[in-house]
Amino acid sequence: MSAAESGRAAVTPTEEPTITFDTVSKWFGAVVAVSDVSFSVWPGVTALLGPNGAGKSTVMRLLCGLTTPSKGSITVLGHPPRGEPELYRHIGLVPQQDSVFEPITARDFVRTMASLSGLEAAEEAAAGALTEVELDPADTRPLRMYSKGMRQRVKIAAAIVHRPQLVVLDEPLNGLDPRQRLRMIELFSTLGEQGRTVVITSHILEEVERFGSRVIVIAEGRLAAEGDFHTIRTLMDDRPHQVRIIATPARALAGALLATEGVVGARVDDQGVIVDVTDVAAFRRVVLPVAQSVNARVEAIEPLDEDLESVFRYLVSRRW
Amino acid sequence: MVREILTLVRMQQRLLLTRGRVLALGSLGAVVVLLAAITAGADDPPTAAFQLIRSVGLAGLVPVVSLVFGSATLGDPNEDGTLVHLWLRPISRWSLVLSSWITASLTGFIFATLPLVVASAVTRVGSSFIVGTALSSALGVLAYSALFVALGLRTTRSLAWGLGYILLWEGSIGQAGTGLSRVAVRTYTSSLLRVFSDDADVKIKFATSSLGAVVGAALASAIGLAIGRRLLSVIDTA
Repeated sequence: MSAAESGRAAVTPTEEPTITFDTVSKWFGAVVAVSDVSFSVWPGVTALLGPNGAGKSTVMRLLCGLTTPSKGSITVLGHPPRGEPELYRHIGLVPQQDSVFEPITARDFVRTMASLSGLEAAEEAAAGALTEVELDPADTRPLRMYSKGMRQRVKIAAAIVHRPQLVVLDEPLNGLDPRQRLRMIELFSTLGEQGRTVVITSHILEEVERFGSRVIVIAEGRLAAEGDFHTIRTLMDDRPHQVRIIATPARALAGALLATEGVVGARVDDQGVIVDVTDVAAFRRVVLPVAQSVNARVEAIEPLDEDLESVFRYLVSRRW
Repeated sequence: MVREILTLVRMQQRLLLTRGRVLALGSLGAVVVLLAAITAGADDPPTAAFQLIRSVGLAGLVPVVSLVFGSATLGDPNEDGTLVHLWLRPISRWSLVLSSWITASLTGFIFATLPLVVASAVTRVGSSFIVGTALSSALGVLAYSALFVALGLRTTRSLAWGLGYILLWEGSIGQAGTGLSRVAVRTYTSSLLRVFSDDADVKIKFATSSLGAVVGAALASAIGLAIGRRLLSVIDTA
């Protein structure tokens, strides 16, 4: 039995990056999906983080050769990902869309994928992969009867059944319950520890934290940041935050706040004062005393940009 | 490559045979057999049988069945996003196209050739006519399936475009002159059927020899497969 068939053999780690994007752009008509993106990915787990519509899935499709770049070049395991089907022996993809071959069973589906990937012992490999994602290989129900979470796990089984060197997972935790999420995160980590390159997209920061991985942040089709999770987290936490204070008189309060430590900007709008602060918690402690000092009446204090999209916007503006 | 194709054919066959298609196209075949039974009582059975198999079978049932199955083999997966599961495997693009053609053709034999053979038998014209029906309809299924496999990859509205092609090109423009008739599959199937229908008192405009029919259909198949192979290489997969 070959290493691939045994299903457990680790891939030899390499100094060379598994994936290289070199100033890659992709546009569809007038819409630019990815703009001048350059990065490299090495063995281990890498998370591609970004809000919905940021261009993550396009990056995934580009690196699997499902679409061609409009500009720039991509190398996967030393080859262009398009036009060399033999390369796909070493790639496993979990696409974002829910679609699977509905009339057949999970075992038939995964076995067919194993067989098409060149495995001799496709039946055993399929049973092993399904067990690994906690599905019953003996289940005779067609895939059309599976829940979203079960289909997701079938896709994961099909992506890893041939033990590829590169596993690409587009939002793989969608539809999974918390226990299954933990189990799958554990599985992805194991694949990374075996020396495989695992690329996972997500738009949820906390999810990426659990992968404990290197992170590439994509926003508005651009590379917004890259590094280990803690570097990215620090960047995100250190950014200026916007807070709206509904108060009267707003102008006097804005002037007083500008002189306060930690406030880097303030402006008045029709609802009150919008201030840029470096530390929201510290600001909350000083805002009322400052308001009192100018006889301002504060009705509400609300953060404006705690959603992840605004964090990504900040990272993009910081880089460009 | 053979193993890849067999694996793909096994799976594609199961995906293709939906209950709706089986019922709809099975019913069409049954209607042709029923018409054949009526034809058996005609004044000139060989001529009536020839006209029935040619006009209803080779010009209607064969292209329609081939269109439904041919365009769906790769068209459906391309549309619903499942093509990516096949596309991203280390198999040659030729294997994908050939397996789709074989799958569509095998299904076409069951839903078009088989009912036409039964229909020709029901007319009681003779064994030569049955052989002619089998060969000409099989030739049509092979050629049309190759063309429609490519069409399924090219457009999401393959049924509409395919019906337009069958009605306008094959049925009208392709019968308007000798040159044009050479690029219509119907000319090949009708010509081959005519070779086996000596008793029928019919003439076909722009008929070609049986060798010409086979070569023409083979060329149409090759062109369809080559276009399908090309589309698979350049297509943006979901």
